[in-house]
Amino acid sequence: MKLQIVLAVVAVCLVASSHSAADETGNIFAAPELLMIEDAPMNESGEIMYPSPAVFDIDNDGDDELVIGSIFGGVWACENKSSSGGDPVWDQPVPVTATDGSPLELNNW
Amino acid sequence: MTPQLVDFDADGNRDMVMATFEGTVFLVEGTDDGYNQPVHIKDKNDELVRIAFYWNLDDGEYQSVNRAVEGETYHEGHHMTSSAMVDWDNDGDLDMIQGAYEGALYLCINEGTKEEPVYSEKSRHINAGGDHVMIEGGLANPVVCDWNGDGLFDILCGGVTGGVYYYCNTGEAGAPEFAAHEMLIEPFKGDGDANDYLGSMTVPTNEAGQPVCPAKSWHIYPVDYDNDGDMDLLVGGQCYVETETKVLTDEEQAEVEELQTQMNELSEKINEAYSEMEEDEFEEFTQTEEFQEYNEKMNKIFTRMQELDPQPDMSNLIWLYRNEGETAETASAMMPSVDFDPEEFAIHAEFDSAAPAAGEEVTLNVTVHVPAGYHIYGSRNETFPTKLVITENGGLEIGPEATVPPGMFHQSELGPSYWIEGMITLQQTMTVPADFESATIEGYIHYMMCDETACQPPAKENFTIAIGR
Repeated sequence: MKLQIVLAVVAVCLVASSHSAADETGNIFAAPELLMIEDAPMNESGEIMYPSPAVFDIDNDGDDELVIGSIFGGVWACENKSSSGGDPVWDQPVPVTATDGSPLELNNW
Repeated sequence: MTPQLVDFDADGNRDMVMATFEGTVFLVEGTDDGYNQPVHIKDKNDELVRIAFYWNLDDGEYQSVNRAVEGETYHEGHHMTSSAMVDWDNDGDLDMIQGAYEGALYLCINEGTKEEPVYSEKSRHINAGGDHVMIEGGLANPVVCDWNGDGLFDILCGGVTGGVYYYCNTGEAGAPEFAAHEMLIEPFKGDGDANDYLGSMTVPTNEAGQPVCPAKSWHIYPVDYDNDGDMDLLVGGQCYVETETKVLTDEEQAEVEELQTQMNELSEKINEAYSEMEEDEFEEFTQTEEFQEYNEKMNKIFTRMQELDPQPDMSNLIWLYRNEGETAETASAMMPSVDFDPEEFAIHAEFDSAAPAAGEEVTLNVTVHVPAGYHIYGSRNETFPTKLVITENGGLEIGPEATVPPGMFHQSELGPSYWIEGMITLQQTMTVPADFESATIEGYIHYMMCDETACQPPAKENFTIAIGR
C-alpha cells in the first residue's frame, strides 16, 4: 500500500515538473529549481521557518539582495556574489540588523 | 511575512513593511544610517492596524476587534499574517492589502497623504469575480505586480495548500476590479488525501536527494530572476521528503510503543506544570534543573525513536519557477512578435484589432524595450514619467489617458524613483468612427533613460501605424 502511495506521489510530482513553456495546460514555468548556496539547498538547516522571499536592494549598495522573512519575525538577507547579468549567486543568509546593532525582530505571538 | 520595500512616508528613504502572525503590521523605517527597529503601523485612532483577530501583547492572549466596514460581516477570527502596500485608489499614497490566515484578502485605505499616511480603522473585503477572495486552506500572502503588463497592478497570492493564484485587474487606474483567479502554478497534491498530513506534504526527491517542489505554505515573490525580461516566481515553502521505509520487528515495535508512552507521560507532566504558571514563571522554570532533565530525557527518547523508526524532517526551502513563456499568457497574447536588439532602446506599435468594425473600441499597444542596465520611469514618478502621446489620430476618437505601468520603487545615487526595466507595454484606447475604412496613426513615446548613476537627455521615439482595410 505504501509503495502505491509513493508511486502516486512520484507520478503527481513528475507531471507537475514536466511542464515546459506554455504547454497544453497553459503552464509557462519550467520545473522548479531549489535555490542553492554552493552545493547545498539554501536554508537546509531550517533556521528560517516559513521562508518568505523577496528581492530588492535592502542595503542601498546598488545591487539587489535576496531578503527573507520568517514566521518568528526575523529578516535575513543574502548578498549576490555574481557580477554577471544572469542568475544571482547567493551568499549565506545573515540576519538584517537595525541601527542599534541588533537583529531586526518583529513581534509575533 | 514577506518583506516589502517601499518609501512608506515619501521621505526618500527606503522602508520595509511586513505583517506577522501577531495579526498586526510593522514598519521598519529606513534612515540615512540604516533601519530602525520595527514599530507597529497604527490607524487614524492610534490603534493597531489589524483585520480582527490579533495577539494582545499586554494581555498575553489572542483577542478580536470588530473593524469591518458597515454592511460587511465581522469575521472575528480573521487574522492578518501578510500585507502588500499599493496605491489602490491612485491618489498617490500607499494603501494596504491585508492577507488573512483564514484565506481572505482585505483592503485598508490610507486616508492621509503619501508623506503622512493615516490608515482607516476599517478594512473591507477584496472581491474577485464577484465573490470575496478566498485562498484554499488559508494563509493568504498577497504580492502586487503588473503581471500582464497592462499598466494596472494585479495581485498574486500564495497559501497554505500551495499554488499561485493570479487575480487579474480588469478595472482601471484608481478603481481596480479583479477577475476570478487563475492558477499560475497548480498546488502540489501529494497523495491526494487531504486528511493525511504527512502524505500531502511528502514530495519526491531528485538524484541528489533534494525535494523537487514545495508542498505547503507557499510564500511567493515575482521577480525577473534571470534578467531575461520576463517575471519568474520565487516560492518559499515547506515539505517532507520520502524516507526509506523500515519494517520493524515485533521487539522494535514494542520498544517504539514504550518510548511513545514515556514521551506522552513527560509531555503531560510539563503541560500540567505550565498550566499552573504565569508566563514569566515558566521562563524561570525553563532555567531549572528539573526542566533541563526533562529536555534531556525527551531528546534521548526522540533520538532512539528516530533510530528505530526514522521519520522525515520538515524542510523550509526556496524554489525558483523560471518563466519560459512571456510575462504571462495574457502578456504573451498582447506582446507583438518582434525581436528587439538587447543593446538598443526600441518601440513597436500594434493594434489589438487590425481591421475593426465601425464604432468599435480598439487598443493601441506600444511595446517599449529598455536595454539591460538602463531604466525609464513609471507613471508614479514625479519627474519624467514615460508618456504615450498621439499626434495624429486619423479620425479615431482618443480614449482616456494612456496607461503606463507605475514602475517599481528604487533608491539609487540619483534618489528615490519608480523604474521600468526590460520590456513593457503602454496602452491607448481609441474608438473608430461610423464611416471608418482606414487611417494612419502617429505618435511618440516620451521618456528619459538612465542607469544607476546618470541620465541621458529626455527623448522622443516616434511611431506610425496603419489601421483598417
